[in-house]
Amino acid sequence: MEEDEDYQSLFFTECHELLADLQDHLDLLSQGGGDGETVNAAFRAVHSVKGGAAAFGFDQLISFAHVFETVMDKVRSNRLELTEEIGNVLLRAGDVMEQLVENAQNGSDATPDNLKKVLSELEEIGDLDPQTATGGAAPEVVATAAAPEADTEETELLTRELVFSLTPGPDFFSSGHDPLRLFRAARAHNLIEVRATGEVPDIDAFDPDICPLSWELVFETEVPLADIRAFFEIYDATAEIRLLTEEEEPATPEVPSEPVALAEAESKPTAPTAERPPSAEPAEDQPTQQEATQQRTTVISKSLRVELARIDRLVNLVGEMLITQAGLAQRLTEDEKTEDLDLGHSVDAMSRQLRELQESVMAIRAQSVKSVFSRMPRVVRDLSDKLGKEARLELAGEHTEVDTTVIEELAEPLTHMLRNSMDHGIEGPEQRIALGKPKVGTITLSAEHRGERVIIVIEDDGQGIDRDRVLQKAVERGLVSEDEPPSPEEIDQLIFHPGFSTAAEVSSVSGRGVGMDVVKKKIQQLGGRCTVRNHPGKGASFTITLPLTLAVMDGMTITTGGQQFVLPLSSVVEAVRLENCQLRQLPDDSTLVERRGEYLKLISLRRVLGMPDGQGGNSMAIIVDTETSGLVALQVDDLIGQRQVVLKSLEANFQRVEGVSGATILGDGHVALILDIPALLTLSGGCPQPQELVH
Amino acid sequence: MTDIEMLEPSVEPDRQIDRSRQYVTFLVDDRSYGVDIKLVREIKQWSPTTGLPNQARYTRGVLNLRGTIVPVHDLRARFGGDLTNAAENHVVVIVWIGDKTVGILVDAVSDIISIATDDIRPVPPGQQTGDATIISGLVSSDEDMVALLNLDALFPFSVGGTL
Repeated sequence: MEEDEDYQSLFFTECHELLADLQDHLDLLSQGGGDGETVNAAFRAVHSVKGGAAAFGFDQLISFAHVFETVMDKVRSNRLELTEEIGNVLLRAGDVMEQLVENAQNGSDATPDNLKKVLSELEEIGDLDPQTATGGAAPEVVATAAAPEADTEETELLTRELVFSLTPGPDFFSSGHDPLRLFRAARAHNLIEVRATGEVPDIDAFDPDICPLSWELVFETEVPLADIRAFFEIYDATAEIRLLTEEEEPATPEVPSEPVALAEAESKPTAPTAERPPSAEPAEDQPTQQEATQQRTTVISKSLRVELARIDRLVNLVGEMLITQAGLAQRLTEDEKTEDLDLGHSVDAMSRQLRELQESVMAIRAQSVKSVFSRMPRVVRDLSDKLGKEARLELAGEHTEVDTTVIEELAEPLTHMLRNSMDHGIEGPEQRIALGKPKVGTITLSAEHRGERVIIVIEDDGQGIDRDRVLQKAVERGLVSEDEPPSPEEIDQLIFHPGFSTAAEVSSVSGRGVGMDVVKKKIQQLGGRCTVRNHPGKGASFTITLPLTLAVMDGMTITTGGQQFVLPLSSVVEAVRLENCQLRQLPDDSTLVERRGEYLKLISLRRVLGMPDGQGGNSMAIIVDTETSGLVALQVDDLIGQRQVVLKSLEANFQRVEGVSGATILGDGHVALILDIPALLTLSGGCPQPQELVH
Repeated sequence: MTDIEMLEPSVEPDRQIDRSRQYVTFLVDDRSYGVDIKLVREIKQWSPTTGLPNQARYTRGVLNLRGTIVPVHDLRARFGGDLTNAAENHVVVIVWIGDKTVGILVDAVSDIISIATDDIRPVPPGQQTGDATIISGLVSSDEDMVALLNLDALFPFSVGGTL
């Protein structure tokens, strides 16, 4: 059913959020921080995942979550002291649960490798009996539910009728429950009849969020009462559930008619009001949990889940409007007859408002990098196990916001870089102690805003890049010649060379033929750069700079060879008229331009772009920051001005063009290319005469 | 039995339609080329394009098709001729190649013709060496010969760039 799939995907999205929160809470707790509320929050996360899993029947997940929950419950009720060791087990349990959720999402039945191990660890610390612990959701209920029924369960194996009344509370729907879904799930427990009771109130008093009805569910089953109770457990917090049949009584055909009256009498007054007698709750801890759930729902209702596609449509529309507005403004300036100042003011105001609108829309898409960062500790923990190394991941600046489109693409390169740090950077524990370093290595993953870009740094305190080995390998592969040894920094850059991998032997972690070059390529596709700084013996740090968004940017429009181009404003330092500058010729025919006592290389944009060396123009130099090799002067014909441009992809209908990061549409409807300055200069700088220029 | 009799007449015309396809034909240097009409998105008057650096000679650049960026290739140059001295009377045929939208610069659009699949003749082997696959078949129409283009082979996309 499509609807089911919708709910499922919602469940999975929620699961990922819950699990990310869980990891945060557990992290805090295992470091000795946090308070009772942190424990509660962690417990609730596990509980909610379990509840959802139960609704969809993911058995493996349910039974694991159940054990996990039981242990968390012990921590919560102070029956179990949270030591660092226990904290670690819980963190791993969180990882396993994440894996199980992923498996459920992919429809795979695979058992995560360490499920058994973690499960037994959980059982050990929680002092649980493995037999009952794995047996489904029942044990907890046996342990905590009110006692009266418990005695009779063992003997009661006859098929009999059990009638439950279910009265949804005010939070029932907002917690994501659906009576129909409940009934369907109840069929698995031999539900034979459902009767609705209660009355629909007058239309003016009707609140669609509150269910005016309650139901009676008749089960005909031989299973112990506790199993049925366990089934209802997940609804406990948001609905009132009562057993209407007396357990001792054998099933009689009259039973159905009797409870109807009973249920009506009881449920009617309670249903519309939020008051539920706490005494009716089976477990002593339910009231607090209920409050907590209520709290949580109010928090959630302040945010809104919107499909990304809808926001994208909005972003595109705003983009189109910016183009139209630019066209209007251009028309207005061209039309000299227009002396109408008011019109000009209006267009200016519109431009400001549009910009604000666009910023607001982009803010909707902005997401904190936390959603990616929070997945990373797990990567490091997994690798610690696999490689027999000890490392801790420290996160900083997780709340830095970046456009969703960028975030989605970040996980893969970051994972890869962490793998790289773990595999090649961090030494084994003995080696570290021998080197006088702390036994546990530290990897820092941080993010911060700098201007229009976001900077992500991955730093480790390992051995750094082994330059001798890199060089040896590069020579072996013929990447560099032995006679002209590259500078140490150049050696460091070699790790980004396609197909380069320094792992001495192919391990399952890295060295699968994909290396840092893939990372670099991916980052470049996002319009970012990736650099490395190596401190041999002390560690390495990788810096990724990314644009905040892939949709809009500030640009400087210039013309060269009769065509307009846009340079990213973030890389433009200044513009100078060449007639005011001292030009120097070098023996190799390259030109230098003097700028306040400093010599910069002057590069003709026409030549770089393979345009004919035309007459005229060439009057301006735009000084740009290449980020990697300092400032460079770009020779262009003329400067038009600064403007905001909407990025359009060339790849959508064509292919990647070297030196061009995308295109935009100008106010007159023409296309202008957005130049990727560092890439352009690799085209021109690396080899003196780039490509064969066919005119 | 009646079922079959009922079915048969209705099947026959269907097949007939299936067997013939409509092609948009256009002219370059007085030669006719055809493209399956289902692949033609629209036909546009030539307007100056924005050049792209370091591309194949026949790639004339990109144009703005209602907000999307579409590359334009010069069919004459693609077949080894000179670059078209494009003016307002030239036409850009916007076609789909896979999921991409691409413009083809031609001299003029001439007709829409229906061709029975049986009437499509294969390209004689050995005539054009490397370019044999870019023509998928030949058709005679009104004493003229139409070469049907295989767009995928004509303008292949090199996936991703180097560097």
